Amino acid sequence: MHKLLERQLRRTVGADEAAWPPGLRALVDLVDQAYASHEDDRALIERSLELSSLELSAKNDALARARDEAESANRSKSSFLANMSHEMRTPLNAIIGYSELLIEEADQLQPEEFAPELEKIRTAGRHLLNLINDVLDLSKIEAGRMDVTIETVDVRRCVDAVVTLLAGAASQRRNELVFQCDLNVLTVQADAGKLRQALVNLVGNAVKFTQEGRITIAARRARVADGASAGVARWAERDPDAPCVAIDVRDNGIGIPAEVQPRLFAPFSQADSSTSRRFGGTGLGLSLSRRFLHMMDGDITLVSAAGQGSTFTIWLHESDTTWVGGAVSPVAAAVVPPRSEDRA
Amino acid sequence: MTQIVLVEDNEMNRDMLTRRLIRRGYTVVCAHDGLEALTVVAREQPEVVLMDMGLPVLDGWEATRRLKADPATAQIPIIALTAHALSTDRDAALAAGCNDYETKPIDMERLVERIEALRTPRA
Repeated sequence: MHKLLERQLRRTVGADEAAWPPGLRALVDLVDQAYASHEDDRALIERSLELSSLELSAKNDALARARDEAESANRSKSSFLANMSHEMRTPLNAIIGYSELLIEEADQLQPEEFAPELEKIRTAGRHLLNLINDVLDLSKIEAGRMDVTIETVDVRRCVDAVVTLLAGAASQRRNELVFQCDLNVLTVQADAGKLRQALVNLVGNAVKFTQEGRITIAARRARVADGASAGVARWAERDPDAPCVAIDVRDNGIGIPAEVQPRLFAPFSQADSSTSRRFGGTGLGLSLSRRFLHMMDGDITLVSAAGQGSTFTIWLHESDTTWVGGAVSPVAAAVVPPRSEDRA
Repeated sequence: MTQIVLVEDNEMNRDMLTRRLIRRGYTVVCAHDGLEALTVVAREQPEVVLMDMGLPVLDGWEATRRLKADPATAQIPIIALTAHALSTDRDAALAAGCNDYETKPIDMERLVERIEALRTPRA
């Protein structure tokens, strides 16, 4: 019996239950039942309040996380814009400055004296165009509007085209440019245009950051396990024995200090802020190249140390066609012709 | 005597700006990085320093701080020249001790106005 009810009954009708008026016991039982069921309801309500408060705090946490993510995305957009502004102003400074200089000096200059300054204006203009193309590519990737066409690509032919394109730049800096591949036929699953663009970027970088040195492009057959242990995170859960191809781009140039390597593939993260001025480049090449490789389910890894050169490695799945004894008719390898524009 | 010391690591920018300043009648001496700037400014005692900020060896902010901390060069006005165009970049240059700030691409007429406003011709 409920304590309060019991006390009041004892006081008003007496402690002896036998002396209670008829029916009072039944009434007391009913009241007790009502109390008990009220107690159950209360426990239920409390439990459901507790649950909804848990749910609310989980939702709050999710909202806070979403807010933090949005703020961080906003910060990186702002810093991207600030970098873009800086990267566009630098070539524009040369374009506007040299044009104005030519206008100022026009009356004293011989026609042939215009050429060197016009050449500088053209170089800066082209640099600006490369920058804009890279930014458009990056924004296409981020919007999920960049298409890849995965096909069988002949590594030899792709690398040969890149070597031909960059041979001039390499010899200008007195660099030796070598392609090594022990296999007659080596094919990968890739988008030919994007693989070529990534290779042009890596080999172009190697040429820029090396003087009187040697740049070696070495293609070899490997296993997915090799890629995973070299740092291809997306391959960690894959069949370790599946065949893949590694294309090393190795130089003996200035190298990349360990502390800047983690952010090297982020946009506008050239190791040194003065690097872009000395060596050119949009600061987006590596970032784009890695995104391209991810779209082909491959990756780019890096081994380097300051003063000891760098090796960037492109990892791609080997195309099944070459797995048949390694002697497949080259006809099976579809190679898209090299694109005309250069976006190092 | 030298009126302007231009500190700029980019060869094209240095060549272009030097020629345009000389055309306007200034005498110009160049430094290629922040560390060289300290020696050149102390030696030349120019009327004004044009300082790029993203310099190798010693950046423009640190070079400015050191020039302003040295009694031999502290009074020489410094104009920051940079492609960093945000207001926070301007604040950072002024906080380092720059007397004025001009963004790239350079507006020559405005730069000359700033130089004229700051320079103190010596006899």
